[in-house]
Amino acid sequence: MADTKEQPTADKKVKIKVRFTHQQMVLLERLKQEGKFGQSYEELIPAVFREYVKQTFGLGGL
Amino acid sequence: MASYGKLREDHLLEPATGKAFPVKKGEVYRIVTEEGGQCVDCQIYNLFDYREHMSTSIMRRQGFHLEKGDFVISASPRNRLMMQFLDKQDSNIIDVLVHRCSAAYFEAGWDMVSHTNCQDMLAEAIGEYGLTPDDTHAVLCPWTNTKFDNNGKFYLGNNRKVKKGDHLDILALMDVLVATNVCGTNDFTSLGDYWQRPMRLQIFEASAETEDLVEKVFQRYPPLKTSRTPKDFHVTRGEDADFVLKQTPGYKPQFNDYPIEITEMEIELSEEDYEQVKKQIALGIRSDDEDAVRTAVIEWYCANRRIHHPMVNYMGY
Repeated sequence: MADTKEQPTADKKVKIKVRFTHQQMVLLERLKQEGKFGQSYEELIPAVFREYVKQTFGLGGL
Repeated sequence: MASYGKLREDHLLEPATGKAFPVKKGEVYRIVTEEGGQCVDCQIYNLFDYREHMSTSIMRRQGFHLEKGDFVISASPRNRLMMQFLDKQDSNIIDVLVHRCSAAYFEAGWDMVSHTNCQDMLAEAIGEYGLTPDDTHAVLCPWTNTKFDNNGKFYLGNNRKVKKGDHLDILALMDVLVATNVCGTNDFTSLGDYWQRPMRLQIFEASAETEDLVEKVFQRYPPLKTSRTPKDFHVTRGEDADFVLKQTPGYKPQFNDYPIEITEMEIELSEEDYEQVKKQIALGIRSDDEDAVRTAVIEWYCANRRIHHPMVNYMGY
């Protein structure tokens, strides 16, 4: 898929479009209900991404 | 490489589906990666006696991963060479270790009572030829990058080296029915890089060269005199004619969770987080921004929330 990033905005954020299957959405919904990573997908996905980077590549990431 | 006969079948295999086709002796069955690498599952039966079918356990005598020149072999007591792998790319790991995923697999590991799965897809595919879900058997899995440690525990690699248009060609050494499906785990494991993609199935008619290849196989490995068939059994059940596979006209498969529905959302990453995305892509472990984020989220879920169960814990998380 083409790179979907946009230029950083004034608050230093990068927008990315991500697709999930409906079966993956079931997992995301469970995480949303859990509440640990946020109340919305927009909060939850970046938070889980950060957790993954920490777990996989260490605290400082790559 | 031998030249094949005319292309006589060309089927786009959508995610969450499977399809069975008869393949005649001398014909070539091809599976093509329509978009990229991912696991597929295959079952192979004698077209004229479905009691004879492929056995991955005997095929493992050639290795856990099969190569060009290796064979599809039928279960004991038949023990015949059914097909031969003619061509593939090195990145295509043909696995004969894993068991197909099933509805129970997703229930056990993810507490999901509805997820597309190989067992149900294959059952629907072979149903077109009058076979039931109980007639499924252990699967052959192309593009299934299994790895194993020194203790024999195995886990899953990925298919990121597989390219669009890669193919696996299998020569029929007898008349067979081949059923193939897009693996249900692709969006939950590294085998599909956490995504579901279509594949393409093609059948090429026999040519003089492929018929010659078949003949050469049987010159080198003549049929074994001790291969047993029902005429050798002192206990039998049913008439031979009951086991011939015939297509059911108008058959309509009932696939679960088909079509796969897709939700697209826009998320925002901090510059610091996005730097991690760029580094993963630069290292070649992710293909683009979307892949980096989706893989991270689903892989994290599987590593931290998946239920441990003997049916699924081979995945090595």
